[in-house]
Amino acid sequence: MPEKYAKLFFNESIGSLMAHSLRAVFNHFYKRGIAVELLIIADTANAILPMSPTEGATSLLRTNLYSRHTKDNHQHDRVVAWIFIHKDANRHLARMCIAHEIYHLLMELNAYIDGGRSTWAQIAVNESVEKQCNDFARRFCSYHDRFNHDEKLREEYIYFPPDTFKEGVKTTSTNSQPKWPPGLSLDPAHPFHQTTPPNWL
Amino acid sequence: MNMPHPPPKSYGKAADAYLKDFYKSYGAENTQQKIKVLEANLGQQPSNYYALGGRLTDEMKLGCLEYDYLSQMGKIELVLA
Repeated sequence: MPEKYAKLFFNESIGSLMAHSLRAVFNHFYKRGIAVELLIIADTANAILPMSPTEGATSLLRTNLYSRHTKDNHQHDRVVAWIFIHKDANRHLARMCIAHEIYHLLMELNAYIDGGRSTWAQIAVNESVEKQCNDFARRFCSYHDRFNHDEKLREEYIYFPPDTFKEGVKTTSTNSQPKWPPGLSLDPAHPFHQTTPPNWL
Repeated sequence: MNMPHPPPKSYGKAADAYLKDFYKSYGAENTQQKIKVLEANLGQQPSNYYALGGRLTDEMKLGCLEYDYLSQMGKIELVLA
């Protein structure tokens, strides 16, 4: 079973476009007291984004806010965002579209907070808004691309050390640290939750 | 010159039939009525929508709600990325 699910989730993860970015969106919202669910959906039914010759969109964002108050009048907010992508979009187009829609979502969040968290309002779309979303998408995707092409950063953030997977690893206790493969450690100087932005950012 | 038609909307035979019966039971015939019926059944406030590269239409809104409703009813499996 572990092997089956490792393969299953690995397959799911390589198809999960912009997964790091979507986690960043979640963290950004959560730090502001709002949970967010993001779904990336291929419009396989031709229900939203039809092919030419109809003038159609390449992606569409739909959002809703669910707000409730506890007995002590504490407000709990949850936003659900559906990003629909044209079913024929390739991965590069899809990622640019997702990034574009993320910026729309961010604009909604900022307006919600600035407005005293009373209304999750539709932001009027005009040329300027679309331009900002495109600008964000281009920059954001280019940062990721630069990161992905940087071998030094890949070594720092992505690659496991050599020989990590030769044997079973027990990481359940700090006491077993001497038995861990090289590279796995409790390292107060380099904890997982601290990152240094690349010098080109 | 004859322009090609866009591919027809279909969630699959069974889901299409389910949706047809659903709208019929509420007497929802046009797009606006269908949107209202779906929003009521989903128990949601009206959503916000943003379409990239094209004009947002009620048909597009309807498609979003249909995906949501059919998925929640277990009639379709969303293709997630």
